[in-house]
Amino acid sequence: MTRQSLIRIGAGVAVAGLVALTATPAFADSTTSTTLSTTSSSVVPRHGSASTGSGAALLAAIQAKANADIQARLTALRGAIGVLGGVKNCDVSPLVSTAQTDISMLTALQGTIDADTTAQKAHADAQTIFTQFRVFALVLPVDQMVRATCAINEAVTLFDGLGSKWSGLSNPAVTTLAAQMVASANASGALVSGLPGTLEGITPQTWDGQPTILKQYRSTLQTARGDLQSARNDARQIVALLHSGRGQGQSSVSSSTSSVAPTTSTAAAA
Amino acid sequence: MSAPARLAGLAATVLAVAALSGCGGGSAKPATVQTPAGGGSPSATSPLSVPAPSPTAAPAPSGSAPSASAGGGSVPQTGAAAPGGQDDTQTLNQIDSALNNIDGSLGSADSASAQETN
Repeated sequence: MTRQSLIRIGAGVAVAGLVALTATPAFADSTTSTTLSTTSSSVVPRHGSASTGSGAALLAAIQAKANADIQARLTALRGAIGVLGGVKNCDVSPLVSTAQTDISMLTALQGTIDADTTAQKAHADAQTIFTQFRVFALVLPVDQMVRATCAINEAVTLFDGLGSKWSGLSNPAVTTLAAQMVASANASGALVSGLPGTLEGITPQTWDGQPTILKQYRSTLQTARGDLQSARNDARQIVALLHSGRGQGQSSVSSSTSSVAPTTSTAAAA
Repeated sequence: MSAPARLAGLAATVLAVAALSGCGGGSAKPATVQTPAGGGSPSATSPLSVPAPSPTAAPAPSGSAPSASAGGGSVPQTGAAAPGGQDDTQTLNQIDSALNNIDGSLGSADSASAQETN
């Protein structure tokens, strides 16, 4: 048995002892108690058990859990701001503002919960850590998905640059592949066009009503990523052709798996 | 005019002629712009040393032999700027970095979502 396990057991015994000594139900009405028992908080005793908890002990436990939940979110948000600060050529300032606002509001909420004098009030306030912010479920995923969109757009721009350069070559296999590469890249860019604004517009309340709302956008990003991979495969073939010196030969061109159709019939050969 | 001044003038003339004629022929490493991983733009790939190829540039005759290094041979670029050259490799590296960033972001989004406990 680890030291950590012993500490946890000790803490549990201490809380149970406090509860047994006071033997005062935390909440007189069963509705509230039942509601509490359905939360994720491991420190809230279940309704009907022998240890329904003292008001003071329960309040302290709820406050401690809330503080831990808030600190975890503050740490994550600060980290996200740092990550967003490293994003270039892409406006992520709305995301940074959101994170900063959430940090301020969560900090204020921590003060509110610390000042609560009843477990019921503390519990109600603690619930807003989740319902009013959705830091892990919404804010951070949106940050990362917008960051992914930025990376997609960056790659599209880079592919367009290569396409412009390679399309001027006389090798038909190269120009065909280059056109196919650019088409795939642009398809990727089209898929994520406007996505940052859409993602930033999703509120915690929206998420609560539709907890799977981000899945469709994640799927879109994955498809866009696939298109970029197709473009990358085309680029790899082009470079191989250029390095092999087969500038004028009728090289076979394999078709990449992409969400866009090959631009020419020769691209579908092989 | 003094001898040192004449020498300096001669050197400047030689340098100017060399610059105008685009000499270098591979003997000097073309300037490249280092960009941070994932943060580059197409214009960052040697914009100072490489004239942007025009899509309307006249292609080489279809029967002409390709350049050994460039493959296509119709774009007058040499060295790092040649098609398939170092500049392209750098651009592809930036693309690979962007792809890695996409994967990392999607993975981080999934990890964050899994931490929501309520």
